[in-house]
Amino acid sequence: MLQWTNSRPVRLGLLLTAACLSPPLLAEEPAAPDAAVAVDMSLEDLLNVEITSAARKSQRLNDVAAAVYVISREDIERSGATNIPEALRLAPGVNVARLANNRWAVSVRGFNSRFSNKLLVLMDGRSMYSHLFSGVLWEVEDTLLEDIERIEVIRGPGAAMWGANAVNGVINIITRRARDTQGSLLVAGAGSEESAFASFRHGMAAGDGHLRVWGKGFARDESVTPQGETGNDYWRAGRAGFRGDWMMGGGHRLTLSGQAYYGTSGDTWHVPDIGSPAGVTLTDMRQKASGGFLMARNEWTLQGGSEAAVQAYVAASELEIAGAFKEQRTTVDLDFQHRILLGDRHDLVWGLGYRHSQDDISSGGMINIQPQKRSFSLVSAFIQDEITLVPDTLRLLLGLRLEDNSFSGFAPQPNARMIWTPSANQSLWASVSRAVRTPSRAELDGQVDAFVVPARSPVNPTPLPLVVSNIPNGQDLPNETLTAYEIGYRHQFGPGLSADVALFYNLYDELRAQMTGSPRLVLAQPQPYVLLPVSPDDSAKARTHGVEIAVDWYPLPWWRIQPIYSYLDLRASSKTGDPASLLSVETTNSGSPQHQWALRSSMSLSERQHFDLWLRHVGKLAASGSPLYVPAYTTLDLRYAWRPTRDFELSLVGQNLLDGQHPESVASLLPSRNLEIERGYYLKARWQF
Amino acid sequence: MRSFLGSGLLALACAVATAAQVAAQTAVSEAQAKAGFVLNFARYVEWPERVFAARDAPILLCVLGRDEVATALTALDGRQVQGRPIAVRRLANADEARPCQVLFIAESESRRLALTLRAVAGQPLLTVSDADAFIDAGGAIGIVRGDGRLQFEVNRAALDQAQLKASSNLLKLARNLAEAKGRN
Repeated sequence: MLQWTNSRPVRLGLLLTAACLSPPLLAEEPAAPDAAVAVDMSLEDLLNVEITSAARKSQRLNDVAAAVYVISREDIERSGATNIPEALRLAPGVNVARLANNRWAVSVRGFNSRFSNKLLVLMDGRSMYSHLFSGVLWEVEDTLLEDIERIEVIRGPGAAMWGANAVNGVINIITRRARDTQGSLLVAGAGSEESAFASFRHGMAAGDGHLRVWGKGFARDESVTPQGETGNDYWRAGRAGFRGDWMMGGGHRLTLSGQAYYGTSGDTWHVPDIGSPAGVTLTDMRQKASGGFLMARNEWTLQGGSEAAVQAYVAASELEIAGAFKEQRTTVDLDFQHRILLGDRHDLVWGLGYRHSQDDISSGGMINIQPQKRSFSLVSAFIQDEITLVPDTLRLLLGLRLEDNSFSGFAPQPNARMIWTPSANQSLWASVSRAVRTPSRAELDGQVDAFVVPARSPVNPTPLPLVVSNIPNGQDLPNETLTAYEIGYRHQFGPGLSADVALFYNLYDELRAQMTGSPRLVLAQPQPYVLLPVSPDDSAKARTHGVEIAVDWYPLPWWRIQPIYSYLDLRASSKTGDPASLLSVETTNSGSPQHQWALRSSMSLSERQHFDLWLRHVGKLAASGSPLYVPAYTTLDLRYAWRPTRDFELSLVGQNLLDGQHPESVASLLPSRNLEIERGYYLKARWQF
Repeated sequence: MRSFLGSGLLALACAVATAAQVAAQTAVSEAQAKAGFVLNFARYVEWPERVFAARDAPILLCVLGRDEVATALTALDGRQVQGRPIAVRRLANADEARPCQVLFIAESESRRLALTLRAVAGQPLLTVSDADAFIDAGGAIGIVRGDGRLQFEVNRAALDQAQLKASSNLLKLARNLAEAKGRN
């Protein structure tokens, strides 16, 4: 029995163990004596105590009857993410695919593509959803990452509260109050994929409140093609903004904010070309995006303790891809909300909203959008009552939003939720809801040449080339609809361990697909061709089900481990059997992985040193052999941060470390060349003064 | 080779264990630290003399809501502050706050914040909470988190309204009143 101690490493191990595990560690459980110590500390000492517990976050979440995950400022910082879409990988149920160094596809619970249209993204209540494409242009929308207080990722429909297009989820990006960002901040860094970046912020007192101004700029490197050539996906952008918060007379709280930006990014398109033997010409494209917004929000408490908020913003933007299109857009949005507590049982919120968005789109080449000018208007009203059935234990939420928009008409979006909290550390919730996705300007009015089948090729033996073109046939496109059933459970097992599980079953109808039109001969000079039109229709439906699990665990006070797992089963089908419809459905079915998991480890080795690790796995897309196939990948990010003083930090980050390059998605809608993501490193310095 | 690897791993384990020891020595739970803040606030705030029935009448610390901080505050019962003992009492609703000198509103009550503050408005009562944007809602002292540490913000208008005097030491350390240095 004693024999095993004779093996040299084990004996050495025992020796070392005896040497380094001194009594205080073996004794463990320092909680009881410390309780008295903390209480008797001076204010100065308390201000220096480092807090690492997760209790606060989970307590707040315990109260919510929806699948919510909060990405905190600390999570973003410790992930090493340099932009918002990369930070969204932290949340379960979210699929983030980097198409190139300047383009992302982000979705929740399936249907991912660059223009994922079933996800509503808001920053401080301002919609980032593009009316031209439906979805978010992640290379256009941004802010100073250090200004983000938290990102709330709500999986499942949030339409009753947030409005149309909050079909599969809502992402709320909430920036910090101006008074929380006083003093100056300077961030600068450089690396292989992150060629160079710098940002600056200054916060000051201003009258009866606070104000901050900030600016940032960066240049990113190009990624590579599968063959290893450079990808022409450079990205350079600059952005400046401000936010001020003031206490006004009569208890009014006023927030003013604004932003202006300019950026250029590169892309290479397979432009359909009847003159070319292959049917396409590889063309370098240059995208320019500029714009800005101004926003005002006023919150106040009325007589009787009810709370009201009114918010308005105006946004202007210009997006140009030279040779394809140029979109100029002006949007005005007004929003009012009123929250009343009626007795002990009813927590009532109602609101009204109005939006008007006017565009002016000139197009050419393979894209033709007509009419050139079109406006979109939206009127909405919502009411939600949160009814306490049993105090502190059982609550019922009933919500309804009515919307009318100029593209697809009237849409009611109801929602019912129930949450049972048998104790302060457990909750069980369930919901049934309906949400809609409104058609986009591009879907309604965009003619796009999809591809050319050259003459005398195996698929097209005729002497004329065949041009397949997406041409709207003038029919009204209805809203896509979703009926969703969800159930979730959260448990805080102790101060250091909590788990969150959500299950869903979704039924979609009137999903966008395409129908084949009748071919016709176009006697163009110098090259006549056969035009095969395909038109957008609503011939697809789908059902999805899945589960998302998030665990938050502190095995030791200074070590946090966060595993997440998401499973998704998506089955879309065509109601017509039309070849174009079947092709659309196949694309939908292969847009999102079935399995995803990630493991994060955050170690606060000391007050001065952090070591973070982030291992991620994303399942394959489509079947191997399909043109939509993307193999599964597993990758790793590491971050080491050192603070020689409390106000200065140096961090070294390695991203996508497990392979030289890998693809994460294939192009959709716009005919971009498929690119692969490379391993990257960067060094960053952060100084507050 | 194996033994080399083995001792390497053990050296790492040893380093981790040492770091753990250091961390354990300084580990103070967030709830305990917040309770420590509340005790200090009671130390640095002056109430009008008339609120106390007798020279040695206790400072009544009332707690609204249920969470870990509310639990940690019960440890303050019996401590001496400004020559008076602290008595901790749990409230079922804000209407019971009339005899209290300090009211701590737990984050679990943050949904009813505006209503609670309205119910106690004008009373010589120090309101404290760790709920988000507490001083914006009209509360007197809010405990907030920044840079992995706890900080606090003071609403001077709310203190004036409650006829409370805060020591300059307290005001000096408040995040929103301090000169520059956001520490964020």
